[in-house]
Amino acid sequence: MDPLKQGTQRVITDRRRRPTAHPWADAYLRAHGIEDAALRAEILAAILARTASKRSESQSFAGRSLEDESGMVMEEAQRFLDEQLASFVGGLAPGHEAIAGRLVFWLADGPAQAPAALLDPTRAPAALRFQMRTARIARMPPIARASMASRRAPEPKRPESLRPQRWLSLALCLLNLVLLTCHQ
Amino acid sequence: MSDRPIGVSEAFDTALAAAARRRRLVLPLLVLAPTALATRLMVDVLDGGGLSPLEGALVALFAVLFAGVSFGFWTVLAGLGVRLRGGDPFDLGRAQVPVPDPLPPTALVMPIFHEDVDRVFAGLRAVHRSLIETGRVEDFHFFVLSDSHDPTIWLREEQAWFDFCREVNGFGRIFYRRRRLAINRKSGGIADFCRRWGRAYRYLVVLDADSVMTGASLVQLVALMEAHPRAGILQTVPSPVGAQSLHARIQQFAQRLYGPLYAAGLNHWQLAEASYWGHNAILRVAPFMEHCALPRLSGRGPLSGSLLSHDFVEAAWMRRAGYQVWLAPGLTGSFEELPPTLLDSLKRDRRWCQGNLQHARLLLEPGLHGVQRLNLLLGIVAYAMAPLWLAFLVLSTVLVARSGGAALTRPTLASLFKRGHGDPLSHTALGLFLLTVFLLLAPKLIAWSCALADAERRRSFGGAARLTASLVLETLYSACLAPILMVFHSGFLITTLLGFRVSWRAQRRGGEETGLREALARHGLHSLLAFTWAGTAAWVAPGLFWWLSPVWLPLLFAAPLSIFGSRARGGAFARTAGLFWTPEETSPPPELAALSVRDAADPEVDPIARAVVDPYANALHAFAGKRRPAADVTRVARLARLRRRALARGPRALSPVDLRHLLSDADSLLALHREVWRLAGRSDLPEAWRAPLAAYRTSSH
Repeated sequence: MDPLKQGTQRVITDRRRRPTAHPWADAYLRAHGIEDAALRAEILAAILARTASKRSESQSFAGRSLEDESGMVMEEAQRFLDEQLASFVGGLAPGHEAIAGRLVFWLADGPAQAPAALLDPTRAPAALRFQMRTARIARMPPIARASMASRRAPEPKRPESLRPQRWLSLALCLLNLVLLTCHQ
Repeated sequence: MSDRPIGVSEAFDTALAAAARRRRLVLPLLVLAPTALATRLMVDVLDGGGLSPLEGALVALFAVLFAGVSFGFWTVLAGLGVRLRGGDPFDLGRAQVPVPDPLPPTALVMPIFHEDVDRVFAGLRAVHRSLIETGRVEDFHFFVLSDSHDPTIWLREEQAWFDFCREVNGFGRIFYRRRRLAINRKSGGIADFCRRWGRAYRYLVVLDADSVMTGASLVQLVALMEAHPRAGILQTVPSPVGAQSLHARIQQFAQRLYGPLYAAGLNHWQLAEASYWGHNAILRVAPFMEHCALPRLSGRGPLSGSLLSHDFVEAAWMRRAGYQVWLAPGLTGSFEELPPTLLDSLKRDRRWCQGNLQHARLLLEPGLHGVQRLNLLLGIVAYAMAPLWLAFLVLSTVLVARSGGAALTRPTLASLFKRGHGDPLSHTALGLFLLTVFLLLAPKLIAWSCALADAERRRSFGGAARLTASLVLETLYSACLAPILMVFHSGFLITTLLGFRVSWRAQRRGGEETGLREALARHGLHSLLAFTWAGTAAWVAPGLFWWLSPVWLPLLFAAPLSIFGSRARGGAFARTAGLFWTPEETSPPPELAALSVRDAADPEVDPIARAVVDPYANALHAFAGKRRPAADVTRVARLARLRRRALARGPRALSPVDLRHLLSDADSLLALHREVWRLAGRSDLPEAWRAPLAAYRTSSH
């Protein structure tokens, strides 16, 4: 099929399947690399269910505008994905598991290999889960501190190998003086 | 000298000491002998019953300038001697040494500042791939040390680092660090690396952003350092590559043709007291850390503060500590790129000029080796020569003007014999003229002859005819550049001494050409000076006008020359015409071939928008960003304020400093990501956010 037509077809299909009330939550899932519209709809359904549950638990949501509701769904989508992604990693970046999870999922080609893992991490193949849990993303190695010590003039380490050529030093001193005098 | 392999032994040390004594005794004699002769001839030419003070000054200037020319000549001649003998037994680069298995831990460090990100990582990929082929890649750790402060650049650097690691499974071996404060520029970056991780590595290979080294040469460098425990620094001689513009191609050809002989000549007398050029070199980390921290020069003014040209000083410090500093001209597989235009070369020279002048304050440091003092001094003299030549020419003009120009006629070969055969003065002038021209041109002719005599090298420069044509054109071009460089370098020296400082800007490495406005702004004053000078000469003495034409003519046309030289089309034309070819062009090593086919960056994606909107990129930059304690209430409040402003008006509404502050904070990046997506459907969200968000509704990412 013509690629342009194929693209158009996909958009139409996507639109048919996409719950039009929350196009941005759907776009957010696409941003995570989930190209399968059915899977996106499935994840979105889970997110909407959680949003509804939270809404029923709290009266503060009553009387909110459509925009607010869209924001709530988006917040829930982010929270949902963060939780799923955080569950991929163990011990990597404590306190920032969601970031680490997102990175290792990305690194392991998760969006292409196991997109359903975003709905349910247990649906990720065992090999991929192992790969993600053992990932190490070191931007820098552990610090091994030492000092650059020689702000002071160091002692010559091997005096026998240094044979100061005094006559040359003297000549250079004179040249240096001449140069400096000329410059001034 | 026997041609035994270099090893660590008393015999080697004894032979080295003897060679150093002999070579360093002979070189000054060789430099000074023709200088004395030429000066004597000059005195004879000028002397008409005693020298006046002005004539005396002219002779003194001439002697200094001639000594410089003579030094260059004898250095190349020493290089020729080395080549004729089949190599220098004290060229470490030629030595066959066992390669330990495994190699000691070695860090490849590349400090960068606002460089072309694609070029930087393409170079690193090429080095990495080459190391894989040696089977020793695991022994090397790569460090990209960034001082970039423009978020659009550092975000791309982080992304490129991640992509590179992902591509070669390099996490844990390839590292990226960005300093928030670029203290002491490049040398500060290296010092920062040493303080943090230096203890973990025995060797440090410093690369420039445009450096490429083959895996074999890196392994060889480490093996050489292992075989020579007294070697502190081993400097390779990088071959210039990748030139596109006409100017860069000519410089590349010249360096590639003359460079090897010159480097061999330098090594001939420098031996274990060579210089470090700041990149494409290996350093022994422990003594480097212990002895080579740079001093901060006291006082105020351009010759104070942190050192701009740190490399020469580090070499001197290393030698003072008892470690040798070697040049390795025989080691191949080391490459660098050249500035693309004349103005870019000059910008670099401006920085080097100030840096080298700062060395004047270190010449008398106690404990320095004499040759290292000489290296520092030669660095200063390299820039002091220009004003000396200018003074020589001005003084000549004044002398001729005072004499009414009686002695000068239009310059023809016949005018040198003006007083007829048998006139000793005419023979003296002719002799002086020929001696000077010989010393100036001989290094080029020697390098040319060497290339012609070696069939493989001749072919690598495109064959005898192309090589010869390129040599002639290069000689003409360098003759045109000489007066332009003279006035610029004189200006650099004077402005530096007057107290104008150099600001640290990113080095342009390719792609951009010199425009008419820029050329006129930079060269206009010099052209005006040349016009006035030529006019004065014509008025005072028409003969002088013609004699000085090689000086004022290029200056007058400096702007068009600069523009023409910067043109990539001119470079491409020269290449098609078979001019200025180099061995790396005729048969490119695989590492360089890989560089030229690198993927072009996608210019459509704004790195800031991507860092905020794309969940994976956001996670990456937050991971790389700084995490600050939430207890710092003022900071948290300021970041929240900046975040609100960025959300309401787009990231470009923030000042560069605010944007830098916001985007280097991990929590702010995460919060921005959440906020932007939460407000995705709002019509009042700025276009800067709406456009990248909308991309996810219409296309797959």
